[in-house]
Amino acid sequence: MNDISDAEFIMVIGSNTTEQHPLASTRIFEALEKGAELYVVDPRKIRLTDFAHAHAPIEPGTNLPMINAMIHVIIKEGLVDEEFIKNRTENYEEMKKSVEDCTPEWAESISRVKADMIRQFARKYATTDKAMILFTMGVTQQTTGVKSIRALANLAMITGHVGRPSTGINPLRGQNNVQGAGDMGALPDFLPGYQRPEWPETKERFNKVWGDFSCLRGRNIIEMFDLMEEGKMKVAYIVGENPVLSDPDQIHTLKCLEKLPFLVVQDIFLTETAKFADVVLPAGSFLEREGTYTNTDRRVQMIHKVIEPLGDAKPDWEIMTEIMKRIGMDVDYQSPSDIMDEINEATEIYGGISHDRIQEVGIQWPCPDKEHPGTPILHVDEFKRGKGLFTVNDFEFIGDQRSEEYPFLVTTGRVTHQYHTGTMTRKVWTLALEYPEGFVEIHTKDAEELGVKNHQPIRITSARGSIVAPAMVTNRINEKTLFVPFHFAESPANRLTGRNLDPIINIPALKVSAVRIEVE
Amino acid sequence: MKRVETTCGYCGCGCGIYVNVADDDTILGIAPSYNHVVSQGKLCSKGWHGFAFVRDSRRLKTPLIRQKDGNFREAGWDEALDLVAAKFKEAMTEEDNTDRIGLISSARCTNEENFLMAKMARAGLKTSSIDHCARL
Ligand code: SF4
Repeated sequence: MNDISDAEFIMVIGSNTTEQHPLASTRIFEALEKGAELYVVDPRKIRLTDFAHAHAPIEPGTNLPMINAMIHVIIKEGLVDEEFIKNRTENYEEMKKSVEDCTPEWAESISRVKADMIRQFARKYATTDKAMILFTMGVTQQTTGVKSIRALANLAMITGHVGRPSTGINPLRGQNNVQGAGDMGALPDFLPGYQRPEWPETKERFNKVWGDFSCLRGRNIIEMFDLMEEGKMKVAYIVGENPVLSDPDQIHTLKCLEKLPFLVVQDIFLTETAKFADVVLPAGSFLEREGTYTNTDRRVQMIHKVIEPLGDAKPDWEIMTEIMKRIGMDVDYQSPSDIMDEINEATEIYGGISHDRIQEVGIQWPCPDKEHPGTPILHVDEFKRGKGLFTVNDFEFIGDQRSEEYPFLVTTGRVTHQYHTGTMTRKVWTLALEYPEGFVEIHTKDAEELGVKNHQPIRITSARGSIVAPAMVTNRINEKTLFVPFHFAESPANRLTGRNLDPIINIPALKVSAVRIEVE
Repeated sequence: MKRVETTCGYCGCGCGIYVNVADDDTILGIAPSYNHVVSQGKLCSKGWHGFAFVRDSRRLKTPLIRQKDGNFREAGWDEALDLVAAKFKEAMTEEDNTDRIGLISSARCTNEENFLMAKMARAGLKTSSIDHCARL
């Protein structure tokens, strides 16, 4: 993250950084102070746009055409890094052919970003030495999410913006330990350390550490809920998650949970999901346990127990260990440090990270052994698979689009404190826990046309369901586009969202749904 | 009073914080860690204020078990954990249980806890259906 402050050009795409990653945004401000240029791609005039040198008010769900058009421009204008492409990458010609028709004018017709602006973005990115791209869920939660990220990788590779300080494409992780949850194999298609279940060496390694184990490609969350609906799933155990609010298509989620014979939920509050449980287990908060988190820079850091758990609550790891014993597993962890020792054996990337070593300063993985200092920048010399592979990412419309029946697109996101004045900020904290009412951002012009006043309740309806929330009339959003924060129980945005999945990895297109508006 | 250094639990930035705690475990406040590589003495409003929920009166304090009438009753740990284990065992077959048992872990849990969830699923319950919310 320290990288950010030394960048000379930063393109932020689909990331409301000041709100989701406040400290990352302070690094952006540091870079700006040193003279960096900031370009933002977002359907909303997010706070960063107040400081940006350019803002592309893109149509939700259309990042891919814009990125491909940038690549097109860079190739057409000869701004590519030929040396880098020759020595470090493969499949360039194929990719080049695939963007031949992706002119900025074509991209404008889909993304509504002016062709000249796309050219400006492309030129600036290609011709700045330390140019980096930051992105988050705004990119990944679209039906073309994976393709968009691959296209960003193409963009970075044709310009040689990879593997040097203050370059690259940098995902900003949402929740605190999303990185670690993936690293540790809380994934259906990977074992800890991103080892594929079907690789023979994975089997050998884990047989040693774990004994016999299930090594299929399992079901992801969405598929698990489908199995509940079909009546096949018998037991589910949900820890620290609230899919009733966070998953798409809430009505479907509720139906599935009702059908599931036995649900265990472990959390610190009686969440909307816990209300459906057969057993609820009280967990300790992050101040009530030991362990490690891995931040968005892959830095593994300690968390320490500050206070005793409230009431009878227990740290999650203790509860899990107890359950493991009771289903007959031979485990005896006295502390999270014992578990980390096992992680050392099971994975290469965390091979040398022990609690002792990171008491003072965290270590960035990969860190294969106890002497290794950690790895601040990935891909320094070689990409993981050897050479960087260019991919072909053709755009096609999948999922929701505007129609006569549903003339608006709604995008979802997190709520912010800066909609309110500073005095509200603390209240929002308490409010955030209670899930107060949400709101719908709507452009002034659309509001006028529909006769909607500020704070007036409006009903928005998609093919899946419908919610009511007060309108927030603003110029900070594109026309014919709405924004709804997703974590309010009374107006749950995910009642609107569909299950249009990214065909490659099943990320639901939470960011884009077509809706209509009715004035209540 | 004690002062404990730890990592902020709110977002992926991973800022370093000090928590000031009174002898009776009351949290007095948060201070940024000046030498920390990420935060360098800064925190956002969530880091400063976000600990309030920890002592919220609505926190769950005991295990709950659903009764026949549909309401929850409070239960001891042994009873609750035995019930969970019994239901898991009931659902398990000789074969693989990937379609029968599902585990959903969390980005709010530690690495160690996520590792245990993966191990419990694959090595204990013989199911490969383990996921967390990164997709969402
Ligand atoms: S203090 Fe703010 S920016 Fe830092 S980790 Fe906590 S929530 Fe993230």
